[in-house]
Amino acid sequence: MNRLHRGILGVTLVGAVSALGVAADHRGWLDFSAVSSARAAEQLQLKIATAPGLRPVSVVLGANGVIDLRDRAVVAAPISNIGTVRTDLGVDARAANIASAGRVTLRDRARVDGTVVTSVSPTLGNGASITGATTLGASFADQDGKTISISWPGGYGGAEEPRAGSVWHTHGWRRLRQREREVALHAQPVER
Amino acid sequence: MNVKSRSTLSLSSGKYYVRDLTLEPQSHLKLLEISGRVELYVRGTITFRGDIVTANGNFPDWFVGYLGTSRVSLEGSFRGTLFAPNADVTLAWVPSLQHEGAFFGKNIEVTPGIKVVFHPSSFLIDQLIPGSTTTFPSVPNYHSTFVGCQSALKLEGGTQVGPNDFRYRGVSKIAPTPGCDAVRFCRDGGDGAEIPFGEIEAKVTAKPTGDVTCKPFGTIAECPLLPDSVGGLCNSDVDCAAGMTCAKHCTTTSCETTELRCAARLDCRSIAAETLLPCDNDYIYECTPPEGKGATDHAYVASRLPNSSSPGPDATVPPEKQAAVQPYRAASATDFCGCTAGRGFDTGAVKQGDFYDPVAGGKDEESSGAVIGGQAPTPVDRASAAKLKIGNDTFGLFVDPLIYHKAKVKADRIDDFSVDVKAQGSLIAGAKVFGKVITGVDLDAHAFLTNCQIDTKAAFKLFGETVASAPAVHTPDSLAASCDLAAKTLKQASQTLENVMVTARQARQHFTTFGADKSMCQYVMAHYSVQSPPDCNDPVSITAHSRQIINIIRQDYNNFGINEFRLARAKAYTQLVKLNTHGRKKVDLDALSLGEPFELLGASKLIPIGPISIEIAASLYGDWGLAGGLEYELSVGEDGGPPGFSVVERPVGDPKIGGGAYINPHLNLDASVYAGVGIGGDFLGVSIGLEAQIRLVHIGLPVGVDMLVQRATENDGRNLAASDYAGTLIPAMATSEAYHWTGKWKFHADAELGTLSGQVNAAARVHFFFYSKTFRKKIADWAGISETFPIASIGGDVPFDFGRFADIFAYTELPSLDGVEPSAPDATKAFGGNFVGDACAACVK
Repeated sequence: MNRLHRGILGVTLVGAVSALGVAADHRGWLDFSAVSSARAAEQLQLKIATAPGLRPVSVVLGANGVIDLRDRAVVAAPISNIGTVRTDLGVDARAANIASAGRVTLRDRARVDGTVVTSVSPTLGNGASITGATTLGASFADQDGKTISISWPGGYGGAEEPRAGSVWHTHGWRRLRQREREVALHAQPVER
Repeated sequence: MNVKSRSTLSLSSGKYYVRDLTLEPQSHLKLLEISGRVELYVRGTITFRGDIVTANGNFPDWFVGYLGTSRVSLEGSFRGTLFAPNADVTLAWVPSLQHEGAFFGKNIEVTPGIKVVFHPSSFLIDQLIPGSTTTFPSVPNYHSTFVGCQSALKLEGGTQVGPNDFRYRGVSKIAPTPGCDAVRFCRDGGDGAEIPFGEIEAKVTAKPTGDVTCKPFGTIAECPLLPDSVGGLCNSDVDCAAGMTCAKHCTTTSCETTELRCAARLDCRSIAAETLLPCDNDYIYECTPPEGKGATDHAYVASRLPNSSSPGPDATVPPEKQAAVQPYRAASATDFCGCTAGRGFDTGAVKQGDFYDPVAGGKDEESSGAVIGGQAPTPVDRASAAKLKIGNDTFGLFVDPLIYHKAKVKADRIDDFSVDVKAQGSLIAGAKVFGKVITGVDLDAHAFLTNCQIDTKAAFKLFGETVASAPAVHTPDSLAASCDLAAKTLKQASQTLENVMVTARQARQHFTTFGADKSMCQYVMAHYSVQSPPDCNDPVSITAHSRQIINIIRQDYNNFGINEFRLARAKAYTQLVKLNTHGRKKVDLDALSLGEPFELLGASKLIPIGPISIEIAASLYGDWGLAGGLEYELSVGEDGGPPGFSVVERPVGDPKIGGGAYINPHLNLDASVYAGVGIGGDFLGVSIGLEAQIRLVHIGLPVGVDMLVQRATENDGRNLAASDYAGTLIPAMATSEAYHWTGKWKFHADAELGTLSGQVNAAARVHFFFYSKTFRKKIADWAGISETFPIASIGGDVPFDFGRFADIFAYTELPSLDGVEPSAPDATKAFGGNFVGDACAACVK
């Protein structure tokens, strides 16, 4: 137990039905074994951009290429696609405001309950409609954006990359081993 | 990390870094978001076929950041925010036909028949708070500070350590400054760690410990008076010199008498809380009259606390404190003219009674116990001021039930309100022997509720010893803090939105009435980032750019302003939903559920007469007990259910905030007499006969208090079309709604007295060595004499009225100025400080 308390995972056994799927060392409990030594944290970034005037926080779907709403799909909040390829709405699909740098295509009976801001004229199938204003020739150069900086914990990389079942532990990457059946894992975060 | 079928992975609040994430079908991801959001970062692959549950039943407030490039296929119903900018994302078919949250990917596919429901990401909403490194390239000077700009925080001792990195030694609160720039808060000492806004806010707004009456970061009116400045007598502020206040001045340390004198206030608004602590010893404070502390006779009590089903004079909101629906106020008569009068309403603390703390032995600053010369509050002499006394000041009994309630409602703008409700029942009882006070019972139960906090507590002292002192229900600090922060963000957002809207309308009016001139050009350049900026010294350049400038401001309102406000509102209500009690909650307080039987005297006698014996027995016994409980409510919606809302919809449902407490001590003293015939003796025998039980005395002292403040949404009755805001309504922004705030309070303190009730039983008594047992069967009973004497009773179902409040602005769309020609510039009408000078004459101040 002390070992568990020192670690970042606690375990509650709730039954025995199926295997967790990782190597077995100690029946009934999880075990941590080091798979690498600690290394310096790696600085990474996640970047997204949305159409001008649309904050990432107000967008339900944000893409930089293609957005495909297949037949009968419903998306009732702003969509941003800064990619120049296309944004498609399938047959009977519904969407709210759309800002798309690429062409917007509405298949039969598709409907946009809102505005469309795009670069070229939308293609509308039979019975398709756009209830709001359509703005053509819009510039997508001045995009809104969000960058998330991530400090990926050390010990990940090269030959020492953790294998499946590994989690970050306060002393480095640890491999999770157990073979007890149907478990509930209670993981504690690296950072709070 | 691979979660197999029928397994559960629980994640507490915090950040996680994993290579792969696989949730197989029928696996569960449980989010324990007790102290904040879960953030999960993945580099390898994501396979999602499980489901997501939360411990609290709320929408999962988690964020998945995916750094890889493999396709992410959500084949289980996903709820949350997915950030996978370099990967293709498929929102696949799921049995529920629905995914919820926000989704970012390189390419996104929503499979046939699937509905995507938007939930704003708290992760992204938080970026709106100061400290964010979010960039908004279109109008960076303005939007990077959209919400935080109004945070009214002043940083002190700043040092710039990088292009966008400043460090400060201190922080204080100042009046909001429009157009202020964003700041980042870093710890002193060189580690550069950024301090969360909430932590700074908590530090700044933290009230000093101890009994500090002045609030360090409130308004100037809340600052203490300087003792050396106390001047002549006055009746109101107009009798005093400029900058002086006509304040009540306690003439004695106990503040039993006061007089009005002019005095100057210390400007404590920018002083750190800690440094204000000494002010308790150095400054004088306004004090309230000593009435209401109690009295020595029932008539006086009755006059103060009339027995009535309708609120007495003290239980009504004075007309000047009531809200009234104001007409729409023209944008041109606002802001730059300093027109702030009647902007919102604040009832102040409408209260009755005194708050009492039996553990601390004194009263808090809410009470009428005044402070003078920095002395600690004088503990209330409840033995002398008791509402019910028997005997005199040398020998006697006293009972003092004290009830306290307070309600405060404040509203300024759309969806910007705060409510503060407090209710307490307390009771102290004891005796005076040779003038010395012996306190037997001293207890209280109280419920404090605000927008974001429920705090109930009970305390009980018996003969001076604390038997119990514990909170019954208390909102976790983390939840209250996040709720408070959300409410503040909403307040700031609504204030900013209003400023943007007013500015946009004023600029438009200036453009069409007086033309675009240098002053206007300079104003816009100072507040907005304009591509290809005009030369404000060149009239030709100004004219060429004027329409562009005005449209920038207009877009700012129509798009950014509205969206920011909606997001802040969504976040605030998300927090409120977490606190929703869904109606009244009752708490029986174990700490106040006490009782014990006792026997004072007991005697029996067996008289043998031949083979039989006659048994006669008598005893004097009784019991005492105490019961207590609390109620509280912080609910939204008519049925007590959660409000339905989204970012673009107005929250549905009006709030109710209320609480109550009751305590009921009692004492019974009984006597019984038994006579029977039997066989045997004291150690082994049995007898049958009759037993009479008589209640000699019953004393009960129930005290209860209940409080409720609620809002009802009504039509405001104003004609929008005839106002300056005629136009297309912006969805989800209140326009024709008035909010009617009412309250109810009800409390009672009674004395129950009874005597001579009793019953006659057929009884059988068994003696077996040292064991004795009586078996009874009631034959007859009688009620005796009992009566309830109301000590105090007030309130009921008749509500008191805080009035009807409606925003003085309406939020309708502003049309483009394209095609509208400006008037010729009028050099006498500068934009900004003297904008539309003529309109200021009509300004309501």
